[in-house]
Amino acid sequence: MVMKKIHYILLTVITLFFSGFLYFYKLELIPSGFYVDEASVAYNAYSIFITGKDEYGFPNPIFFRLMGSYTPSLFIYLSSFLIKYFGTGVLVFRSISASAAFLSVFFFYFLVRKMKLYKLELSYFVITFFYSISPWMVFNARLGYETTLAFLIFNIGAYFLYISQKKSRNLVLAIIFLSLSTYISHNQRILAPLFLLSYFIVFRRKLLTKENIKNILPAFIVGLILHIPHFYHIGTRAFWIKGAQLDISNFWNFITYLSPKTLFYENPDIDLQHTIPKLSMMFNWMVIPYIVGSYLLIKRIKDDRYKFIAIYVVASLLPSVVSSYFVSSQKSFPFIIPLSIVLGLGIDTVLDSLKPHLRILLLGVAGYSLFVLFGSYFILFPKERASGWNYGYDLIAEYIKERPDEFFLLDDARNPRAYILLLYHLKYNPEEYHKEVDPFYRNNYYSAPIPATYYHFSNVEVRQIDWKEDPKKDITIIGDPLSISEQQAIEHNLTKVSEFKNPSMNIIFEVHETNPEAY
Amino acid sequence: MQKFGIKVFLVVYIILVIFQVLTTNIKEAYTYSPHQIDFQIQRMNRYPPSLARIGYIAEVKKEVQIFKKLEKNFFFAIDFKEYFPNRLPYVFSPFFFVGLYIFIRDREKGKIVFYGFLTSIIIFTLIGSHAKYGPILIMPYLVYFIILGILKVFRPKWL
Repeated sequence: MVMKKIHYILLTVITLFFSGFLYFYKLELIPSGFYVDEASVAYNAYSIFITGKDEYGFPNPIFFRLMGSYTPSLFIYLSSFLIKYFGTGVLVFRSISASAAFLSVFFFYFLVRKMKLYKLELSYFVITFFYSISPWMVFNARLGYETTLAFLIFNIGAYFLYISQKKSRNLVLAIIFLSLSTYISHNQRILAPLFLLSYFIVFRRKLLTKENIKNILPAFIVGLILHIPHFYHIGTRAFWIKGAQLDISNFWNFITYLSPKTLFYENPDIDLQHTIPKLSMMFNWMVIPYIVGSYLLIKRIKDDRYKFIAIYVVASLLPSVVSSYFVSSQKSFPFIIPLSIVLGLGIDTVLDSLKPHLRILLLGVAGYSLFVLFGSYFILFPKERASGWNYGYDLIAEYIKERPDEFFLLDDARNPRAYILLLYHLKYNPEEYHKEVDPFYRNNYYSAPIPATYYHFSNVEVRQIDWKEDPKKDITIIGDPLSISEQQAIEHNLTKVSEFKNPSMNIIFEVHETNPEAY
Repeated sequence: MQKFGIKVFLVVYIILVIFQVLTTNIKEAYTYSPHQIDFQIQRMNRYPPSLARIGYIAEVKKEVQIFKKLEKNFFFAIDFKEYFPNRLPYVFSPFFFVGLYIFIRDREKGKIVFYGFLTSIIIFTLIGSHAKYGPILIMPYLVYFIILGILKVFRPKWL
């Protein structure tokens, strides 16, 4: 018994060690680059910290316009608070996600423990370990924007919701956390009410007892109070910005999300930024526990614990399923919780069928998983996905900073949101930018106007190249290799003065000087 | 009668296996285009010098590459998206899942069909997905699962 306890303590330490390592190791360098969503959040947090207003000069918004996404605000406010103590480095924003992912490991363990689904004590530790080192988890633990924090807060809410079945006073806590999650990410704005509604419908008989009603009522009131800011903005276009994108005809996408190929072999997400080379969302060997676990889930569906998992599966996938024809591994990230619980069912069954001394094989599986993850994420990913993660804008910012007397044009034809990357890397004073940004956006903040196509700040313009006029001006043009072909450079008398390469040594930006005298 | 049924099943199954193997370009499943070989070498070179040996094993070593091909074939064979809606309408998919569940639950009753299904997946994993007529070895099972699912959901009185 004592030996077993020592084993479990050791397993916990190993899980925490590896998850801590995988979430925080070289966090400022990998992913290489700073993605435009990260820069957008970071610059707005910086602007809030300096001026109390967002990049457009709008005071303390509840939804941040950013580049038209109207992102819920909590992550940005938390970031601006951290800027005060830790500065504006990449690490600050990514470490919020890394910490959230690390905490989520505890709540995942608490949830599976409370559910008491597995026969073997060992299975609770094993599935928590594999949950914590899964590619999907590691990837999301290292993002500098709101996804993972929203995921954690939602999971805490889901945990309290589950335990409220026995102690209904936990319902208040569940509502608080689920409501808070809706202030962090758009995804949770759909997921939280959907999850709660499904929960109440499925467990209505259990919930609507005299004993429970006295706790449901305060929870309902707390929920109403917490959503006052939402009610206040309900009439704005910004409030409904994502709702307009939902399309129920994508419902059949469920099949793609649940397909073993999607989960364990090839991530079909079309956004290069969301993928890891050679890995999908989970490890390939997990297909076996997935099949076994799914079978057990359906077999035992009449049990309330399994009903809870089924609700979690549907609610966590539905927002991503109906929001796009294409698979989004980021929107469907909350699905990792019910998926891991199901994988745990499979692992538990397999372990239970093995003789105890054969369970040592787990070490080999863990070793293989870590080996594959390390190679794909820490060696290939920084090189192969650098461009997808907007690598190189810090280099351009340095180049511009060193030449304050020159005027620059950055071509944004293939990255229309590039301006925010420069603003962030230049650490451009938000007070100055508020004077330069078009006041139209400030004055019509929540009415979702079309994003600008032209940005001007300091000695920089960000827009597409105007081949008729720009070569006649005395400027320096920066663009990717597709912006200016060799032929165009000759035709317009441009002189290439510099170039920047990504970690794979491919050219990502070229710098050309114009020669207006030649015209 | 039961023995006769098994014999019929086996004969039909063997014919299907032969047909599947003959109409599949197996060579295609195990060859690499010059572009793929170039990409493997590029990937190997992305490993730092201290991990060059691991880079070679993970990206170029023949045995590992064969395993990767088998893995690809396997996941192709069990990819729901390959069958819905490419070969069967989406509307049948819920019945497919119900039928598949019943099939696994009652696997002891129809052992021969169960092992036939597993064997089909193994064969498909080995010969690859470059089949002229698609995964015909797996399709009858899919239809069988759908029928099982429909019968379970609607429970027709005439049965």
